[in-house]
Amino acid sequence: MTEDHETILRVRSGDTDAFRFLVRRYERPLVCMIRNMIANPQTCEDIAQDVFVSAYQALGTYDPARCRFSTWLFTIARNKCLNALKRKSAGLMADVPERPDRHGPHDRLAEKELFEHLDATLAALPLEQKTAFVLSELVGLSGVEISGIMNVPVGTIRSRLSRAKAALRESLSRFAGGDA
Amino acid sequence: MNDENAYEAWKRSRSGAEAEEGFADRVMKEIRRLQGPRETTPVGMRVLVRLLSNRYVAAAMLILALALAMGRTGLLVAFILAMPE
Repeated sequence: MTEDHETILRVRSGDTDAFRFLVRRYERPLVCMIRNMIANPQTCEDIAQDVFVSAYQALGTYDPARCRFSTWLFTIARNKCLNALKRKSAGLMADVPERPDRHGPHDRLAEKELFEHLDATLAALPLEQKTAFVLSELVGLSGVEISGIMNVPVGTIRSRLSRAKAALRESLSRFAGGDA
Repeated sequence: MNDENAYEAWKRSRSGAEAEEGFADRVMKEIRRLQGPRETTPVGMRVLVRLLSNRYVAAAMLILALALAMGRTGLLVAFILAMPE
């Protein structure tokens, strides 16, 4: 029995506080996923909170025989993101926290421009490609897990991922070419 | 920085997003808020309130309490009161 499953059993038997373990365990990848799909940082926090609350409320319906808890949780998150995007069709993504400076001012400026360029490319990707890319490359889930979340075959995920990467690499090459 | 390094650095920058401090506390607070006061009421108290909300059960318990308070005579009175017509 996995640690997640043990915790779920405790929550189901009335130990509400045990759910905190699941929140702490999945808050980082979940927030990472949502921040890369939704524009407003405040909305991201709200959606992430909503995902956990919905998961808690629907915990009785979760069936460990069908999928892992993480797959189930990310499926809820994906649906919430899609709903939020439908409500406000914002294509832009949230700013992410700045990384520590390790370069000179010129390098930083060039890097900032490059990152903004790639951010814009990622934001402009079709939603299904963007979701596959975010879950695979930024959150670090496997193809099988993403397939479960997006409810499509693994081959389709690989294809979407490949197209997303190709678009980003082309964007990177164009930027490098224009920069030179 | 070559293309590959730039691409990996960009991916790291986007995967570094974290929830704000106290996120788990806010989630747990919201869950408790949605659960309402029921969670904080002891189970025994909830059962008792539910039982007493039924007037027949409430009447029977009152008779039982009277019987216990008044001893043997009370028990007899309670028995007569509780007898079906």
